[in-house]
Amino acid sequence: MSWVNAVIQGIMTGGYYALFACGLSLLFGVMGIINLAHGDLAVIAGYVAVLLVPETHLPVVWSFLVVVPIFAIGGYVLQRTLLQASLDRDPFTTLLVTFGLSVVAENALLEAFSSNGQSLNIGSLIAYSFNPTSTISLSYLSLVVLGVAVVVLGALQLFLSRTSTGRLVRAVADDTEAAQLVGVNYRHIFGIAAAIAFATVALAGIANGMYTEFAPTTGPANLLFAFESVVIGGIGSLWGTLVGGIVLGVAQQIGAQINPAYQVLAGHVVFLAVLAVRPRGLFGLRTAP
Amino acid sequence: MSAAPALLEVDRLTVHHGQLCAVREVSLSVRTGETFAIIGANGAGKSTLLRTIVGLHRATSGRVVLDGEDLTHARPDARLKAGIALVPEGRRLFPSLTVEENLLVGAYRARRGPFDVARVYELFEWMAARRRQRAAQLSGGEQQAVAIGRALVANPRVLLLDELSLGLAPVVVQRIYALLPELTAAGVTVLLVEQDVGQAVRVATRVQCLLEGSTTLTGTPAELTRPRIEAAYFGVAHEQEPEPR
Repeated sequence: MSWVNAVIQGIMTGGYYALFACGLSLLFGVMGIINLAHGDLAVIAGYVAVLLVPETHLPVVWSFLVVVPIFAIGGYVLQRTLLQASLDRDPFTTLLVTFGLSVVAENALLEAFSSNGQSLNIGSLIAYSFNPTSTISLSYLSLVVLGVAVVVLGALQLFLSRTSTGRLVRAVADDTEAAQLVGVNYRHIFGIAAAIAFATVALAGIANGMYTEFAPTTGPANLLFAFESVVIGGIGSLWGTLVGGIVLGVAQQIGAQINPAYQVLAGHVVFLAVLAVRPRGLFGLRTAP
Repeated sequence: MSAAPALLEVDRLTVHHGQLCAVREVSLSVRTGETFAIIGANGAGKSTLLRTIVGLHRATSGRVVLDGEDLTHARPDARLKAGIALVPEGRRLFPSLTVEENLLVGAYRARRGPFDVARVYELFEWMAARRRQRAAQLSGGEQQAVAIGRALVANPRVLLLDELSLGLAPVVVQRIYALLPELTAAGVTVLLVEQDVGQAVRVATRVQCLLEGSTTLTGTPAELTRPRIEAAYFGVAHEQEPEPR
């Protein structure tokens, strides 16, 4: 029965990984930016929530109402300034710039908040769970995060496939120059994509802060899991990212079931196996041009 | 020169690709309702000229003027809004979008005018039935038709066509060029680039030949004899020779 539990816990962890990874996938899919500061953004979102929530007198659970809009605006502005300027030089520059952002963010957070762990205290809500059998326990928080992940990915999919702005995002992702020819200001579209990506990573950062402690240096470790989710699922496929997150989560939990020391290792092994067998990922549809 | 006013004026345009001078002091003026053809061999600077007119390349010097409005430093989206649209070399459709989505994206910044998605479906009868297919699944000729449609729905005043015939079967090329009179009738002025001289001379009202970035010949098809075109095209100096026809 504990194996069943491991799989169920893995699926729920996978929801969080997918929520965390979809912004990374979007930035890479639309403008070819590999955002090495993605993990740090989630950590910053946690700190912003810790700082702002007491000011707004909102319950901690609702802190995303404040943090997500701030991140969306911040994402648009950062894309239109620093990230666009580095894209204009060459794609490799974006890698250096986001790496630099990651280092700066980590050190600024250390300077401002010390290396002590922080968390978003949601009180007794964290302890609520649903127990269908005596050995399986489904935490409400994990269920909610999985639900949020599915809703966010579904909304994003609908936005891209059904709205005219989503159509422009896909057009720009396909061929930036051809999009300019039909009158699209691709820089603005890049900004919108970045705003969405930052909004989703803010949600993930808040979810992470509710689950566990975070500190200025926890970003890069989380980034690795997001990368693995995207690559397992296949670049360019949002539902693939969800499946990738779930595969990674289940692998980790099963690894932990075998031996607690194998949790992270099992995830990496599955990641490498997918890379070896299906380099485009499970749902990667994009073929080389 | 006739009395019709110039719609698109390119004035001593020079364009560099890094160190290389791709277009050197080229001037041309396209009059309303005309079909103006630029011919020249590979690397003569034809495509670069068109790409600079729509704003994808920066001009080193010279001016691009549409109906009195100086667009030399305008962004591509502003030029489209002003009325210049390009059907680029190699079609450049959005491969993951459907045929209809490609056309809808083309209409994103459309001016008012006779063309919309429905009108394009009338122009190309096969297209409506296949509007939900991804552009990547179409044949080359079909893609070229969608690319033309995508430019038309923006209702340009001047339509720039870059190497329509490239990589297409002669029959398909004929069919696509047969469309030009219909576009002219709808009030679209055409500036086209062709490597295929015969094709260009058949459809154009005026022809200009480029060689290594410079203009070597300008005239109406009636004025231009084969030897003169050959001389201008290849840069062989036998222009003084008598011209038997």
